[in-house]
Amino acid sequence: MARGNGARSAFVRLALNGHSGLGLALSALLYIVVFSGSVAVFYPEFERWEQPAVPEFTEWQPGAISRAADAIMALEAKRTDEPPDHLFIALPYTDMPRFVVHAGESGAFVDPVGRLGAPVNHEWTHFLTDLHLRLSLPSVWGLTLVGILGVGLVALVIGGILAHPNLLKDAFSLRWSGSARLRLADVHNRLGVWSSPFALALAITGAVIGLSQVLGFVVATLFFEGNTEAATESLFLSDPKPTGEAAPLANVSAALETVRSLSPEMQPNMIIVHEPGTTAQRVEVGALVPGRLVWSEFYALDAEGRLLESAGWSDGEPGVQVYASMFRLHFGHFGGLSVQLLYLLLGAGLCTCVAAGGSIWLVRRRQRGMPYPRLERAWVGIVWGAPLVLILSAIGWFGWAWQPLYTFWIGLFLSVVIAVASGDRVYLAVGLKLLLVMAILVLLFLHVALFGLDAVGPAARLINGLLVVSVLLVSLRVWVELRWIIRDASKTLPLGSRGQAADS
Amino acid sequence: MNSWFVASISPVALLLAGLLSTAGMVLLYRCWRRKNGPVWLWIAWGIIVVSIWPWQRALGFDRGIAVAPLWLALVAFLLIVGGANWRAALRPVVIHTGRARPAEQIPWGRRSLRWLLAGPLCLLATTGLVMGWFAQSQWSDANRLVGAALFLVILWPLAIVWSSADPRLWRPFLASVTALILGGCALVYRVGG
Repeated sequence: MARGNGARSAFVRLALNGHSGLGLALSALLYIVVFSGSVAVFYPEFERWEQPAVPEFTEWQPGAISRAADAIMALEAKRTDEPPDHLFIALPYTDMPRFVVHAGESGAFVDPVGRLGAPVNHEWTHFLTDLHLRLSLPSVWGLTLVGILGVGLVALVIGGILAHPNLLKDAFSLRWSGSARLRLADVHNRLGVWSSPFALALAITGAVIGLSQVLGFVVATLFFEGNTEAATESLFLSDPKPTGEAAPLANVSAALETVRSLSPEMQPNMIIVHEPGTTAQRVEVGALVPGRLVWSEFYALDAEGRLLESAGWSDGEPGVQVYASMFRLHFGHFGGLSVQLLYLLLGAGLCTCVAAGGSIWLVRRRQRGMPYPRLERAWVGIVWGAPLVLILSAIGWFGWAWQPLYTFWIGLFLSVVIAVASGDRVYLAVGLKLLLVMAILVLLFLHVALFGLDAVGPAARLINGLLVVSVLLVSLRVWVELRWIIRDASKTLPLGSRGQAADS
Repeated sequence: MNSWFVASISPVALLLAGLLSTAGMVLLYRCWRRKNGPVWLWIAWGIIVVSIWPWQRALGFDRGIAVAPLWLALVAFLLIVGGANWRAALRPVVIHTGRARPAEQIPWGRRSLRWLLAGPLCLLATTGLVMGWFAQSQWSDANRLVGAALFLVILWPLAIVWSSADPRLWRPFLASVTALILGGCALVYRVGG
């Protein structure tokens, strides 16, 4: 029995070592991906928040779609002689009440009559989603790196559960009165255990989405003579071969009516015309499927609006349906605002779990007499610097049209450099949180100054409301920590030299 | 906040699902606090499992399975937060730097070897195995393509966990090489044959 217990504790120790090593190797990038993902759950709302003055509606006049399609094609033809590959029409519905058309490089909002309005400009939201999907790297490299991080997160969840011998015994323990390491460990373990189904779902779907291009390439090389399109054609509707011969633009309104009569319970929300205005053109209509996780059902139609085939995302083979369900499961877009808020809360929990995991390792080093003070401060610089520079990137974009990509990454680099150079981790953490509160307030004032009453209108009130809530929460945290610092100062506790107050 | 996604939800089933899940989690919490016997524990888990059915009735088969753990996690966190000693939480904690102790030093070479094994070699081995399965599988293209992606993102992490924890590196190494050979043979047999 004793031998059995010894073997078990040795196994737990080894599992814990593996978990810490892997966590340490991935922590910074994983934190940025998880943090940006938690925020990006609201990307449709951020798009609306970036341009809150755009008219919103869910009903449009007959003929508006064709008028808008013709208008955007004419606009693109003025810009370039090259015909666009695709014409994209986003139809307004309750969750995204905006009518948008895109052709080539031209994109504009549309009014209910079908007239083009303001150009589409979601630069900051694109930066945010790009940060999460690709860590701002070029497409395949970034997607693959984030996919590998997803694999790492799956390994961390499995390794963490194996390294946790008292999973049920400690299921609800949160020992705030214990030592700093026990506090951090309890926060890390409770968040980790109860959100493990959520973390696994996100990590697995994220890994599949991230690695799909590389995997598609491998499968194509081995089994489809290098033809990636042939390898994945069972999952998607195929694109028509371009002919380059001009033809009248496809009847998109007729295509939409065909889909509506086929599936009246579905909500068509997008139309794509491949090779528009040529004899090769083909219409694809995407429709939301009620009560399902699948992203959409896609129908292919000819230029007159006759049905050719469907992609089978809602009723095709199990593999197709599983693949089609991964996106909504990953993005949290399947149950309205309540599910998005749950994703935000659990995402914030996952961020705390990653941050606490890094801190546990650093505290353990310090308690063993082998502290890494620079690394401790750098970790604070990443954990609190990332939200700060994300807000600064939005301020820079709204205020001076600075590219958010540069503001974020240069800002994060500076945050880490300043953190490493600073004298005390506790003051640094409080300082960064104070700056975060101030930055959010500046962003809110800037938004109101730029958009006036639209900043509290239906398109922006959710994001601005969440910003106000985050100001309150971070301020509360700062107030508690400032009280600690004032008390410690009155006792002349040498924070920087002998010990450090926990801040995670 | 209107949403198209909630228009098809059955409110009665949703209420039942929320109540059942919450009841199951609260019972689990009470078992944990009072150290009740295994019978109550099993009842608590039973209620939680049964609550998946009304979630599916309310939201649909797949959406129900997706939402149930989110709700359970939220209730668990609320119970944990509610039971925590917040007065203690508001007190600062000082982390003292301990006396330096000689720690077991793992040579850099061995450490690098471990990460080479967990990273590229395990990736190669699991990809080989998955491609071998892909080659031999009788499933349709769509099913085996998605199956291969799912197998890869589950098998590789398992291999990483093993490689990063096992003190005897030769064991995961041997398993990786075996997987690679098996996958390679299956592939050659299919592609070459």
